[in-house]
Amino acid sequence: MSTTAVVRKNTYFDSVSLMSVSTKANGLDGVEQAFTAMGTEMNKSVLENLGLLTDELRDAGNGDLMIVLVTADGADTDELLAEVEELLHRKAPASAAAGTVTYRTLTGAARGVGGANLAVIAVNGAYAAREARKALLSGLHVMLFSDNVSVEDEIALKQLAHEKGLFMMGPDCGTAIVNNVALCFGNKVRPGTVGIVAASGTGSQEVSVRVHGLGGGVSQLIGTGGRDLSEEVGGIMMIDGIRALAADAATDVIVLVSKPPAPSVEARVLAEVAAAGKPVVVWFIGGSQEAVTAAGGHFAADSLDAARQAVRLAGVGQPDVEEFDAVAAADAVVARLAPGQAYVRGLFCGGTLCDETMYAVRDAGTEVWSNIQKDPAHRLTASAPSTGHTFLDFGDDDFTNGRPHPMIDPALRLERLVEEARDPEVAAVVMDFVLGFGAHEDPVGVTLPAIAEARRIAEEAGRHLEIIGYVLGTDLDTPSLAAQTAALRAAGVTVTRSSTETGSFAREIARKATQA
Amino acid sequence: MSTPETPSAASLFAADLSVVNVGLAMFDRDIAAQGAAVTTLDWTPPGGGSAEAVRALDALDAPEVAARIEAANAEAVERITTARPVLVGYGRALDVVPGMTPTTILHSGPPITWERMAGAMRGAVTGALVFEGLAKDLDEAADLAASGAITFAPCHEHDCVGSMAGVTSASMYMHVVRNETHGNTAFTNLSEQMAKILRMGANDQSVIDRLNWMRDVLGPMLKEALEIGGPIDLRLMLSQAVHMGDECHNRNNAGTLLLAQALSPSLLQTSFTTAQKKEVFDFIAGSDYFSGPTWMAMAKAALDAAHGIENSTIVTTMARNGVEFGIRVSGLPGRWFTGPAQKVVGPMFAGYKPEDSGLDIGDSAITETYGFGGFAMSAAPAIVALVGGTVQEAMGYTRDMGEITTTQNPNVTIPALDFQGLPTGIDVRKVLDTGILPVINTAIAHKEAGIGMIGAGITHPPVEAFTHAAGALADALT
Amino acid sequence: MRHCEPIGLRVESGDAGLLRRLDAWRGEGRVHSVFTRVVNVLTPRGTLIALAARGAGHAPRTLAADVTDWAGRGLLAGQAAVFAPGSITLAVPGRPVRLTTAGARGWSAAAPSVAGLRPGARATAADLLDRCNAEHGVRGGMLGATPGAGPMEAAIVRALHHGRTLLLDAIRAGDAGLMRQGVLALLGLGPGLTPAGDDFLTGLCLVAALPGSAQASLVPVVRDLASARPERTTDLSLATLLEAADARARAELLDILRLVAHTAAPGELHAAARALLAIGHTSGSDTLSGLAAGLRLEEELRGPL
Repeated sequence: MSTTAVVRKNTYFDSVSLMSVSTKANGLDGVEQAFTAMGTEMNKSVLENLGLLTDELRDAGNGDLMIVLVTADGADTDELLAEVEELLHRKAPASAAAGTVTYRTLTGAARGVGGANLAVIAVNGAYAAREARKALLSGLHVMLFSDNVSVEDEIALKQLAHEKGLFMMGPDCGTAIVNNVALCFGNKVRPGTVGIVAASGTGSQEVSVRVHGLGGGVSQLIGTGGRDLSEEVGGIMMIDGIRALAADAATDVIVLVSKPPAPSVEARVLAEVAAAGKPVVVWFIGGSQEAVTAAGGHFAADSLDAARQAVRLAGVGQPDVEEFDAVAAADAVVARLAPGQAYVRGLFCGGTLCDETMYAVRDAGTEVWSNIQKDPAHRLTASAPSTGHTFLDFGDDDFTNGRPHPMIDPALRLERLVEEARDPEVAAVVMDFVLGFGAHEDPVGVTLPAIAEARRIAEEAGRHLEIIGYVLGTDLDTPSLAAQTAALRAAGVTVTRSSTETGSFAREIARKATQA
Repeated sequence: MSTPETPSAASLFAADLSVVNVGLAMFDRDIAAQGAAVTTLDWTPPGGGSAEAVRALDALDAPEVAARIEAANAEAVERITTARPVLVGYGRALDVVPGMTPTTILHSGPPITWERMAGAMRGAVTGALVFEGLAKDLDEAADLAASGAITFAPCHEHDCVGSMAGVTSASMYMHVVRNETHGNTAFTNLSEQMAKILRMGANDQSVIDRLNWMRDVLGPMLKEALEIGGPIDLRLMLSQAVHMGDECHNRNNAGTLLLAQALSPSLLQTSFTTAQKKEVFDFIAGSDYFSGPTWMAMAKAALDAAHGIENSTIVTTMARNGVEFGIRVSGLPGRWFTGPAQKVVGPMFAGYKPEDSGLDIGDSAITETYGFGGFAMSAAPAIVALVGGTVQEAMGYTRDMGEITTTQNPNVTIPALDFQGLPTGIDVRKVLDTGILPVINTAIAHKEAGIGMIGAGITHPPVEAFTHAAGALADALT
Repeated sequence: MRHCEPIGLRVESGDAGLLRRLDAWRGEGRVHSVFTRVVNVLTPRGTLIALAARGAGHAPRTLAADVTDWAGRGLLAGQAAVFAPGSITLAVPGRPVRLTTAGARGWSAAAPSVAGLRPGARATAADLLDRCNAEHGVRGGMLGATPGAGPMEAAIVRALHHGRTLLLDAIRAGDAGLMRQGVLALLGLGPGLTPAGDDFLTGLCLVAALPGSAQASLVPVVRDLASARPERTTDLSLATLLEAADARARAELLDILRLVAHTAAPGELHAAARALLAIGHTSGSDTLSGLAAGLRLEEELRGPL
């Protein structure tokens, strides 16, 4: 007999749901007995007398809930703990009457749940379009997280949504904030007056986080899915998104985030910009200024620029932050490098974060290789070793094929970090750490051992390896930006303050290290 | 600026967000933690993830095809709900059932040969052959059954339904139920009451003796009584029974009382002796199941009227022969779509174990096809033990069945659901699309011949039957 | 900003004493814990009060608002609660919730006396309550272990039994030192959100706090320990126990005491006991155990005279 336990700090459950957790936990294979009680002195002393008081339980306070599992010999305790966590996370019934209803279909839920207005759909791509159509036909707005949906289906869904006056966010839409509720992958940001329409998940996360960091707030963040601004789809969702934010009294400034649209689509989107009746900041990653300005839009060169302009136009917050001197910072790094350490390697979870840094380096005239490079001559596969300045997006299909997204499962990226540290040509490794809903619960913590290992390898080889970390998150996220930043700094990592800053730092190191 | 001709999606911003979450449970937690309402579906892929099902559903979803189906289904359910089955008489199968001959044996479920029959059905067939005087004992009956001299056919193909093994032979007395609205007639034989009976596979002398008595006394007396008392409106009586706590498949307490109440004055006036009348009343009082077959014939009369409507995807038959589960679909008349018969899960009589159970058998799922039985569990809280316990669960069964059916039957309603009508018109497409299989309340027969009923419980059809039907519909309609 | 306009809710009724004191409290408290039907709030004075949904039942330090439940409003522990005359505003980001108390009906949480009953009446009532508890109550706490219970539950139940015996003997002996040990042996012990031992103490202490009680010496012991050793149990338990020491308790408990005080018919008492048993998981049973034990002691301590 051995014990294992879950302690929920200052967590309160309705007694009915607690009872059901306890009953279900007792029914798990390998559990001989499950017992739920508060972490009071008396309860702990009973456990101690039985020899069941683990250190974790000893630390429980009287306001903490203890779920103690007595397990059979040979039971997989990690697995059991995960199952208990799952039981705890299952939503407590909203009320006694509604609690007993389990819906099996979208149509049934749309009919049965009073006030249901949005469906979040994350099912296998083969079924995703069917479910999205059902949701729209039931009058629900849709956020379609699934990918592998055909472009024909996407067009049909978006046209249907448009006719019905509904949002059709996605397919492949990972981030949205609706009525101050972040959906899927999103950060906790202040409510405010900046509305965002975005074809890029991490791009929009970055803008929302920067707006928050500058003292502004977000009214809505509407995702469109990555393919919306293609010739075929024609920007249906982005146009509807702009119109909706234009009509929304709580939105003062609109920010658009996307890779450069197909030319015909760009013209249509910019026509909406001109007609919006409120300031529109346009960040088309790597796009050109002329057309945007001509349409009366505010051109943004990078994510930080987009957020600064939005906050300034909204008349809130403090857009002026201390400028980052990338040149000086890079000089300091390069001074510590050994001969032959010439290259920067970027290991990213966020696609747009990878893009922004990679383009910053490339636009300075430096050659870069990547798994998301458009130019086939500079494209790397997931299995290929790094070469020159390499920037990898671990969230791309190449890497995720059959695996969870690196924001959830960081194993591949950790291995790669150690691998890069062994390469004597590497001067610096750049990594992002994405916080917020849907992300890993401690992205920095899970990387720290690999960082230590990488630094040890370089040190033993007599090299300085510069590790640059960017934490995408806010002080409201759990864990917080401050805590994650502090942990990185303590591990000897140089922490940048924005995706844009990360790009300029990488660019200057690449330039100087290559020359050196 | 929202364009004037289309509604604006911006209306979402003024509402409290209430999310329906499909696929990934982790999002549920995050959304709830931010204070928004969230409902996470218990979602399963269509057709259990079968590619054939998804292909067929996509084909049937094409707007032009879907429009034809909607119109046909509307007619099919209209026919089911407006059918007014009336008990008009009783008579010997040879005299009343179309196509019946002295050497015909009807059985439940889709077609099956003697060699493949389940134990309970074999027991019933040999018992019936002895009862008919075609064999002197069970061994001889088995030889005869195997000889090819006996014509086997599904009840359903002779306007009949048969409970459990469904074995129906020429001399057995049948209910005669006419659908007054559409003019067709349906038949089923009489309840043998008890557990150790022919339809459950039992076939010893006590079983044969009872069948003889039913042929010589019970059947003729019922026939005469109905002639005296006149026809009985079964739909009206069914609706009363449902209001009194029956689901009319596994619970028949109220329905049997109502039927006996209607028959009693006429039974008393028949030409039989008082001793015989007492035997009949004792027999009726012997089991609440007396009216069970009556409701089956009632449902059959209504569903046959909805069979054969071009383009309709409505299920008009669900029936099992103990080996296979077969369904028939309105738009594909005469064809069976089958999959393996399933286990029945539920409480067993003392002394029997689940491994003693035969697989699902009988035409009684015609009750669920109509919309009562398992579909009306919420009307019969007294037997929720069959579904594992709670009244809430029973309510859930009826609600789930609402998701795979086309309409509600305004003529038969469930008080506990604010007089919502029976979920009516099982749509092959909805079954596959939702992954919800029809729920069937049923009895459990022993797997061996000669033993009988050993429990009761619930079961579901195999999804393959619906997948095959959808494939055939897609081929036929596109 | 549209979302910053608070959502207005009315307090329909509440603890009359609390409603009177509320106007004097200004400043910021915080949300302590959030349940479907109840939100607990720490006042600027550091006391714990409950905001209940309609129909959650009257209780001391509790206000009932015109909501069916608190789900879906974004309430989280730690959010600010701003107290101003006539209102409490819960600072939910984006959509604060403001409860106004104007027009709220006051409810008195005070318990009746059972001192003047004829001999045997309290014991009869205690018997009936215990029978009802044995029949309909939930095991796992004061009622003993559930059949087939594991070692932990068995040990907890043993400890509860030990604590009860110790405390009841101490009250019989009128020994404050032993009472102290007995209370400490139960405080914070047992399963559930409010540990079973606390629930028992609440029932027992309520009887001891009634006017004219023969076991009144228990009350100062409970009060002292609750203020000297608050870390022994949860905030919620502590608040309930302190109220019981002031002879104040939730409506279901008071209903039982009123029926006992008026020697009501067994049927009525049975129905009231069932209402108490419906609270929480084992909480109702454990509280009822304490109440019955208190009534029995009351009889015993007066008995020979």
